[in-house]
Amino acid sequence: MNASDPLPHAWQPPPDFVAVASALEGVTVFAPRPVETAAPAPRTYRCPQCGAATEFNVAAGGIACEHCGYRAQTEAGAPHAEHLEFTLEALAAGAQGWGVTRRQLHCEACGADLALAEGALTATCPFCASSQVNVRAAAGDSVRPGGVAPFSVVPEAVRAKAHTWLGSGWFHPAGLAASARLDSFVGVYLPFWLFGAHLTAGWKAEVGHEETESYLDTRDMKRKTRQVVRWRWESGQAGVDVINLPIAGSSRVNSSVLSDILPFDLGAIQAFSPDFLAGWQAQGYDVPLPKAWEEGKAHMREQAQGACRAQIRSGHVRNFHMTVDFGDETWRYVLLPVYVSAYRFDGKIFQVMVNGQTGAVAGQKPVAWAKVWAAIALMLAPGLLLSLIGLPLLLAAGLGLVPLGIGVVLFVAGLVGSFILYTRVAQNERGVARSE
Amino acid sequence: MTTAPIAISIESEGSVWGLGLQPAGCDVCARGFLVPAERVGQRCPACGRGTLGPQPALMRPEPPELVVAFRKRPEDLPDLLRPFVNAVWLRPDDLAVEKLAQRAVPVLWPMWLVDGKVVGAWEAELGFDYQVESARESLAGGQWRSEKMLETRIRWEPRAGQLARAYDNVATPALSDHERWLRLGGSYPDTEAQAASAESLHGALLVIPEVLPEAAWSLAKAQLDERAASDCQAAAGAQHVRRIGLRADYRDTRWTQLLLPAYLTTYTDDEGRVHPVLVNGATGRIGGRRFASQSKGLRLAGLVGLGAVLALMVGLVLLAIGALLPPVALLGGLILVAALGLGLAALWPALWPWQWNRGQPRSE
Repeated sequence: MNASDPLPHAWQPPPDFVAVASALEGVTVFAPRPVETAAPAPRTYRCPQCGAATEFNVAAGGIACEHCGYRAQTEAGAPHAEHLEFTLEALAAGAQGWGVTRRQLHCEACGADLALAEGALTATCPFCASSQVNVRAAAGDSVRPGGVAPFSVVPEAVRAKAHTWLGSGWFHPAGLAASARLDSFVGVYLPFWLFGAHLTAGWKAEVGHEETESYLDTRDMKRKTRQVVRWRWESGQAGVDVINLPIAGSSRVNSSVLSDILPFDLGAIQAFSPDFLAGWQAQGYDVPLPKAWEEGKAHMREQAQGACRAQIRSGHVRNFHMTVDFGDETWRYVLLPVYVSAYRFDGKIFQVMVNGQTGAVAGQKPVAWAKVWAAIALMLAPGLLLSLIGLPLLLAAGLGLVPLGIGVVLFVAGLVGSFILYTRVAQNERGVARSE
Repeated sequence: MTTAPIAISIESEGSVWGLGLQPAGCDVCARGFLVPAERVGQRCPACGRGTLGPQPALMRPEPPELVVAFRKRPEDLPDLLRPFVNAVWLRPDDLAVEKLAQRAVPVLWPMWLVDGKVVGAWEAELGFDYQVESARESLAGGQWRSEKMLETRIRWEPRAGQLARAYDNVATPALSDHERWLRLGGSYPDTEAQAASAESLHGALLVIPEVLPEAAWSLAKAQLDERAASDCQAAAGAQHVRRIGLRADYRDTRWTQLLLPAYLTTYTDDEGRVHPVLVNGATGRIGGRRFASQSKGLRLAGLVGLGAVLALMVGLVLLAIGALLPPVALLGGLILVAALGLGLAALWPALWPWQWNRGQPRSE
């Protein structure tokens, strides 16, 4: 017998089903039309009224034309970017490009990759203020962003915040706010990986408990008490849910500056639409998913370790070991809004970032080291002076113990204060100066 | 288009399939057989109580298509039956290896084999395996050690389509007590089925199907649907099925028989009840209820009890003598203890058959 009968003609597949390959003769298979994964056709944003270029306007919350006042509300997509699993295919780096064909610009000065709007061949790099840029073909093996958090801080407000931030602080050069040019803030969508997981952690350790015991002192044959630490093995379990752990997908930005403008309002993330990028810069990721996930896992396991440690009601712990099982791991690739600028001062380049949602400012500031050293000298001087007075008196006449003691204490306090001051200003220079 | 062939009536004097067989039925259990003419009038091998008499039968005219050959010969039966019988300590006289082997009758019992085409449309929710990478991390000695693990998950997706597939030899019960036959004799190695021929059927009684194609069709259809669903899953490359719906026509159905070998024999217990025993003709597995003899048990208990009474009397006499000769009293006491032990032991053969028979299945 063979299946030579023709298939019934009257049957129609369900709506939006398409034929797929069948592994058996005599059986046809239809499946839901696959979600389009290829990049859609390039789009040019032009005003339908006057033909001028349009861009996403933060205040209007949609595409706007500065010339004729045209406004078009950007359609709200799904409220959240889809949470994806760590399939082998995803980890092998999906080979999809962007939602809109964009030119990839490569800065020869700092190496940043910038996706710039169609038609822009050169631009001032927001990371190094350099104009040395060349067009480079976009890498075709990147994952497309699943979501984007639109800008909610208008560019005009950014400048004011940045100038206020620049003028604050004591240990910076006088006239910094006046001389540094911080006008060219560029709104950039930076790539972020958002990770989630449920961690099940189990720990075991020797925990020491302080106890008071009485003993017989054989020297004077009296019973006395003393504190002893009794060690015993303890164990426990902890569950930790990590949601939306952000890991930067760009290695070109100053990570300490970037971490200081966190957090973002991740609840504002919407499904990716090219409209949000119209007229704005956007950077593709150069930290691949597996590498970012390794970093994310390191953060997560530290959280799990903290949860386990919190269960131990003692400061005496030894032989601590634990296991962490990851479950329900998810990832998202999203674009988050940042205003970036760089300014030159005294021949050096300093980077400034502003959170495009919250307006938090952070960045690098030059340090007036003369002021710093002067302050350190002022902090150390009293202690040193008192010590110099007290020590000869003590050696010569057996007096001066009190000023010497006070001097030593003041000197040590001055050292601590100096260290804190030095650390903070050094951080300022590297880029963690922050203001809301 | 559902098709199930209509059974036709075969008269008692007819010769079925050109094999020189005629239909006969038991006047007690009503089981029908196709038997050679010389078998008519003999005892029914199924129930052991009635006799086979000429009887018309409703059946299909197509001869059997496949038969599983007898791998156990009649001369193998004593060795097969011996462990089955010897497991019963106080067994009835009729539950003996020689008697069971002597009464054993080779029979071939039927299943329907249905061939047909399934043509229609299907919709299903199918599961596709995919792998995700997970991790287990360990902290020991201040160092983290990472272990990657692959976890297989199922992605459920809808699928639909059409099918036109032909299926051969879908086996369906042809006896109303099909499950009982399988329970007694166990399953058959279907890979050993071969084309039926006059030689392969020779010497055995053929059990006539009781479940006619009209009644067996629903079961056959369910099995055809099951095979079609399996094909739809395979065509889609899915590893799992959560739900599948089939709207199909069943065309060109063809009904034949698969015959399975067995030896039927019987024994009679103490109360005169006849119990069938079935031996799988392919595997040698034996099924049937084995009852112990309660009367044998009571007789043995009586003998042991009598010995206990005698010992009791001797012991008492020796005790009386022991009043004059104290060492004899000691011997009397020992004999009294032995009498007590014998009295208790007499209970065992009385109770054992009851206990054994309680363990037998309530029905065959």
